[in-house]
Amino acid sequence: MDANPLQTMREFVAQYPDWDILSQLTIDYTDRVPDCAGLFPGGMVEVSRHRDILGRAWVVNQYNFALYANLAKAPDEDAGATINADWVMGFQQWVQRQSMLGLAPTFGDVPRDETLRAQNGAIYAADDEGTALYVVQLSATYTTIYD
Amino acid sequence: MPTTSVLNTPAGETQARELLIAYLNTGTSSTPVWNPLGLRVEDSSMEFDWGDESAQDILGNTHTTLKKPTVTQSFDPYPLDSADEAITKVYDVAVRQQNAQALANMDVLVVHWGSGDTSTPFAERYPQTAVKVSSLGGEGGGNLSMPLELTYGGTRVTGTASKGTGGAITFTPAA
Repeated sequence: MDANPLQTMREFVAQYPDWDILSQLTIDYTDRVPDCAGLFPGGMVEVSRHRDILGRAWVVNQYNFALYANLAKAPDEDAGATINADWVMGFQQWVQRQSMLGLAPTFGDVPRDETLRAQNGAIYAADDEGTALYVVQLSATYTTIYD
Repeated sequence: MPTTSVLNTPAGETQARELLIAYLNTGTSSTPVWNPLGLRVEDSSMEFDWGDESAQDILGNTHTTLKKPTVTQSFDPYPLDSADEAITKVYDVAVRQQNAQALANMDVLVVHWGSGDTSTPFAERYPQTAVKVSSLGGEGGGNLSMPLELTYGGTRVTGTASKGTGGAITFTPAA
């Protein structure tokens, strides 16, 4: 089990091959200048819990994060918007691939059953100064065993 | 101070499921090594078939006869896990060796942790239990499962069980 899920996720998202367009990744905030990103932890949600007949407890939990990326985008301009959309959807596809291939970080006691999802990539806000804020929701589902 | 009673848990409380555990002998008859069956199994019960037959006499009264029960227990699904020495043993005997004779004569100890003395609870040993593997497989992306069906058999020996400091189970037949 990983002792620091936030740091693990921070290091993981930075491995996205097109990550190099970003100049920094901060926690819980992002500068409103182009090419900055922020990772916002959303805490843990308990999905389910059950026991086997030997008394061992199996708890399925989910870590939630939101990745905010502030990218360059001129107002009412298609080319930059298209590039940004490609970057966001590419990130989501990359996360899915890493998870399916077992290359994503794991957080629990049953690594093979873990899933990491990057969903709902969308523009969150745009301003007249040439930037737009995009958000992707990340969720890691894992199982913890209590003897 | 241990308590001794038929059910040893406090009055007014129900008993936890893990107070009834079946252990498979993965050692020898004379030097048994008891490993629990049911890691990752969420629901399993001992089923008692009493062979009951009912008939009515000419006065309309019902009379029922019962025989000593045939006790069975299924574990389904039963995911394979090398940490589970009991299922590993069954896999070896059933899948790799297909040794039907050995499967039909496996040594199983049922410990009723909620009955008798809390530190030396009631236990029953069935030295010729049939352990039938009903299938081996599972859905894509899921776990490989090998459901079992046990038919407890052989000369039933009752006694007590105890757990050593390392967790090893010892069975002591009643005098």
